[in-house]
Amino acid sequence: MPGDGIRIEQVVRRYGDTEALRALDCAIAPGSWVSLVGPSGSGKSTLLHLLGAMDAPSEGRILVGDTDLSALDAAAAARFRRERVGFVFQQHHMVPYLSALENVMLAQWFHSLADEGEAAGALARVGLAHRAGHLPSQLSGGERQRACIARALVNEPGLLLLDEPTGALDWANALAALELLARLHAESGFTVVCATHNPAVARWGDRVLTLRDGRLASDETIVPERPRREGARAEGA
Amino acid sequence: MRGPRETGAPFFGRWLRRSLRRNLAAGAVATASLALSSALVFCLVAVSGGVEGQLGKELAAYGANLLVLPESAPLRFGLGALELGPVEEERHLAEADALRLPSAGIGVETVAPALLARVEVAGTPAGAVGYPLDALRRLNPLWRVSPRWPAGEEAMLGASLAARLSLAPGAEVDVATGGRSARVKIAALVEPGGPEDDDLFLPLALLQALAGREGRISLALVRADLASRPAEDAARAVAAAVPGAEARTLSQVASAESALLAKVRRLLLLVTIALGAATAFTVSGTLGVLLLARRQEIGLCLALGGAASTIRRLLLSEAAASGVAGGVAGCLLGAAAAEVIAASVFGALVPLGWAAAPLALGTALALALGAALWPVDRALRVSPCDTLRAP
Repeated sequence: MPGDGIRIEQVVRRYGDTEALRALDCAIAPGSWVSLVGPSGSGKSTLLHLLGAMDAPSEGRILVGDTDLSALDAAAAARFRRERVGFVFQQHHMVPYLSALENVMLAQWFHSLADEGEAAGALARVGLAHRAGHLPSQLSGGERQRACIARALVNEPGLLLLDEPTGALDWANALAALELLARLHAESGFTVVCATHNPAVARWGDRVLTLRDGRLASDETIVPERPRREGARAEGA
Repeated sequence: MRGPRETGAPFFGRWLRRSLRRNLAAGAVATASLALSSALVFCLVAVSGGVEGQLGKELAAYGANLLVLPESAPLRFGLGALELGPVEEERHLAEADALRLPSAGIGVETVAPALLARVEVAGTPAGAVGYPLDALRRLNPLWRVSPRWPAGEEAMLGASLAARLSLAPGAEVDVATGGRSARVKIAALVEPGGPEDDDLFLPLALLQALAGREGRISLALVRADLASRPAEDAARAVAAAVPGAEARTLSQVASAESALLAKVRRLLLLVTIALGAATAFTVSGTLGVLLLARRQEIGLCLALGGAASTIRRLLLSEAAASGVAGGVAGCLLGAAAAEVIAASVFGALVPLGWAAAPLALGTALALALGAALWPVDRALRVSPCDTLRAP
């Protein structure tokens, strides 16, 4: 599925008296990889939650494809999330009593129907076929993150939202996860929005948006820097 | 690798099984509370049946609760501490019809058919009542009879009549009516404490022969089970079973009995309700704590696009499973407790009314679901943004 384009128009998000986002304006091209950077409290996570329809703007509107997220009610927002968005979180959250395979099937089931074969295929694409039956507690951090990536992409979303996707991984595992994401991004063409503190991770994108105090401080188009792990070529990654 | 495509329901079952396996142990406190509550409901229902049965037996000591008379008969004699008006002695019922009442399937426990007659005792006019004396004894076990209940052809004198005639147990007297007479032995004096203190109590067959009324009776005293039906309904059923008869409730006995049973039932119901409320609070509190610990899981499911109704179904299904598990355990526990209580209170085992089982199960299920509604609803109000935010 081709990636979704995004338009953010004069978006404000207030929490009481605090403005987390202030009249934010920007557009993201379909299929691009955009990194959101900025200090803590700059509004990165807030923007990510708004793009994922987990939260609604106080003012302004956000269009993902032709869907106006600010007009969605709770049920429509849930439908948008399961049909159009994949999430990968820093803490690689998984349902603790379901196996890696069943965690992927859960996302399928929310979307439409659980298909064990397809779910196993999604795990195989991230190199976890041999760990499909393991519980999250039996997987390493890197494996859990890969399972989360499989879960996020199994429904072929147009938009992948990454919230500090490598924050809980060592650099080798972080690189492996980024390589995996880059490969899948190249294969499928979904749009990526990745919030990160890490400049090296940010440089994996083709565009870097810097937020400061809820405003867009800079907007740079860059040539991605995607270093390879030692031995990655041999693994065929 | 491609497996068979599943429909939604099988995966939900798989998810539920995994979730139960993981969370049922954590919810053991809630399940145990439900089991306790269910056991007590089972126990209360089972034992309350026993209590009512036992009360019924003990209340039987206070005498008959229905009076069967020929239709439109006025009343005269004092019977069972009740003041009756004049009886037209020409109106009678067939004794055989009255004796069939216990086997008529209308809850009649004891029947004492009676013939009333005016007689002369040692030349003194008196009222005589003919009873099968063993039935009279079963209906009135608290009557003060001394030195012993009569047997065979023996008679019994009311204490006032005995004083008036200066007769004592062991005396023999002539009893006459309608030109016939018989000599009977006075075996005992009876002092019921009412108008019947002035009566002569004869074996029914003897008075029937003296009065020339073989097989006929003036009335029948009936002890019916009023635990299972109102006194008026029992009276109608009895009247319908005896041709030419009407049945009246002996209101003092019947209403006291009904009132007592109603109070016992109300007490048991209130105890059950109080217990149910306590259980609901316990289960609700426990589930609230458990769901608080599962906020992240719930937030994740919401973030993945899971409908709130789907997640609610999972959580309520878990609560229902806990209710069923608690209910089954409660039934087993309750059955054992009911026997222990019955043995210690009544000195006998209570026949277990298995109607208590569905009631106890249903109570546990309803309590589990009812108690889960609020904590589940509160858990689903969680914001995925808050629960999934990186620390």
